Amino acid sequence: MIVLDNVYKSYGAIKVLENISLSADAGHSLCIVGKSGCGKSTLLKLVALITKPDGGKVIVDDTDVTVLKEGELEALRREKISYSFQEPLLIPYMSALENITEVIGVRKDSVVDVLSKLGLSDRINHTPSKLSVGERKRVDMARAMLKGSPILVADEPLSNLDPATASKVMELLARYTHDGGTLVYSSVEPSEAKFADSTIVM
Amino acid sequence: MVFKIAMRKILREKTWSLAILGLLIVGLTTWMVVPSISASLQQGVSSYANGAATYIYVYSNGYQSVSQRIPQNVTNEISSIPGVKSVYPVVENFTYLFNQETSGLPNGTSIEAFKSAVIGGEGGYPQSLISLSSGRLPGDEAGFLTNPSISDIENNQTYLVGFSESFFGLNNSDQYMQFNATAVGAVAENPMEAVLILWNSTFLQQQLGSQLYNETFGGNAANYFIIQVQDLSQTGKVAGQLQKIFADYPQYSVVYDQSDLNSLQSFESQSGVLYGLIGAISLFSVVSLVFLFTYIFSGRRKWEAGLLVTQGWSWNRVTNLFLSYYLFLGAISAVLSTALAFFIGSQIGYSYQLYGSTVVIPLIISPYLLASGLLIALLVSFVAAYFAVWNMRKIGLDNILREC
Repeated sequence: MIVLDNVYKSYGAIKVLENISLSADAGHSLCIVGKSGCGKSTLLKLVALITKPDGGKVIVDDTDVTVLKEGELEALRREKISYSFQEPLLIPYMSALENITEVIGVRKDSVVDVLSKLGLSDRINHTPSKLSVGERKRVDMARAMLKGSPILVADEPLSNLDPATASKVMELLARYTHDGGTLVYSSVEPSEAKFADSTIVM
Repeated sequence: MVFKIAMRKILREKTWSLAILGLLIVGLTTWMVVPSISASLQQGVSSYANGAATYIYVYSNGYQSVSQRIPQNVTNEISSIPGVKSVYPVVENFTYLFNQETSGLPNGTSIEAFKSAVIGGEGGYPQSLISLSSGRLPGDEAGFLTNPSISDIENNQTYLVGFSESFFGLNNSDQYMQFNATAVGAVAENPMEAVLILWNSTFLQQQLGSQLYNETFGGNAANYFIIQVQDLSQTGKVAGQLQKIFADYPQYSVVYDQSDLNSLQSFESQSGVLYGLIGAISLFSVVSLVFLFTYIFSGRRKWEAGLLVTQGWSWNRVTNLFLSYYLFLGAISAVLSTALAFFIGSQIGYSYQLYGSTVVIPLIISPYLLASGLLIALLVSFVAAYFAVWNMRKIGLDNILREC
């Protein structure tokens, strides 16, 4: 379970988040909808423990992460959080397969299975420079899902995807929540909120 | 897994890997070669100084044939002086034969200006020596070579024209020196037209008989000493001790080149600053290189580390990845730098002429320098890895990811 209680976040003089609260239980999916630049990614980074709020609390499974030291945050991130970037980030000198197996340490066969379901069976040995943005996005999403953490944070998981592939991705995400995972994702398209159990509009 | 990823990074990002490798090799080779040049120069100067100014000579001032010979116990006393490395006692039996008609000198006259002079000529004293020199003087068919080798002289193959102190010093023997040549050296000296002959003592004794030999040359004990001291700093002290010993033998002089000694000592002490400066410049270059290296390469693609941390990596694990990467490159660069340094060393050895011999000073790459090169490679690798991660942690995960 994840809870954000009255959080604030600024970058210099720019107030990005102000008095935001949300919660998502295990097996629950939450979609954050809003225009570009409204603070969705910042909110997701708070959930993914990438940054800390200037005020308020972020609670992950009854632990207030705002008071944790870096080492404790590392452990929590490793055990509890999977994160998928808005702009897909892959290590440039590794293939699609290696970007998953060696970064998160999972077996090759399970990775090949997921990548095949996402239409990347013929791309698994390609380096990121030889993949399209949409293909990189799918690899990035596959990595987050395969990590198997109880909380999955995905920043615009359906962007740059064609409808058919987007449907496959949402199918996998639905299976993830069905298996008890907590999904928090963002979108600029209100229609994409239909996949979520609850929605926050920013 | 971490090492495997590091290897992948090295092999698949060849341009960057080679750039890092090249920079490290240049730095490490500079570190090994520049102080080596300094060390070689230092050794060259030192060997020249020790070769030139660590010899002290003791010789008689006047007519040698009747000079007082130095007994063996004095030789022992010289050897026991602190700082003395070797003592070469020499029996020096040489004569000047003058043509009485052209010199106008009466027979039997000794001339102090000519060391060991015996006035001779046809019918002069001692006739035995004149007879012995027959057939061995300039103009004779046998002739005199101007540059005979030591081995030629020792093997009775030739005669030496002229005479120099280095002739003795080159034998490198502590043994009592007696030349095997039957007659060593002859030169006409205008206007006196004297002929200098250095005689072999054994040969003379055989030819003249012991009595005449002793009357003419004063016996068979040493009358000339070459003393080698351990190093430049000992020369003056040993010379002082020798002067005390030879105070009892006023016809002998203790000689060394004080001005040469002073200038060499001065040069050695002054040049220490130069050598230190060369070492300091090398060290500064390497330290600069380390900072440049870490600054450039640690700032590159920080988001890669950020990505790994968001996927559950600890910063320590990221450090290990960087460490594996830089250590591997550091180890390769250390090996290649060592090979390159030895190659450069083989190409730029320094040679010079000393006392007619070619002395070659190779580039001295000491084990200390090699070890320090390896340590620097390790240091660079550790600093690069730890500085990179320290810098990223300082910037913060959120900000690192913003840079992608």
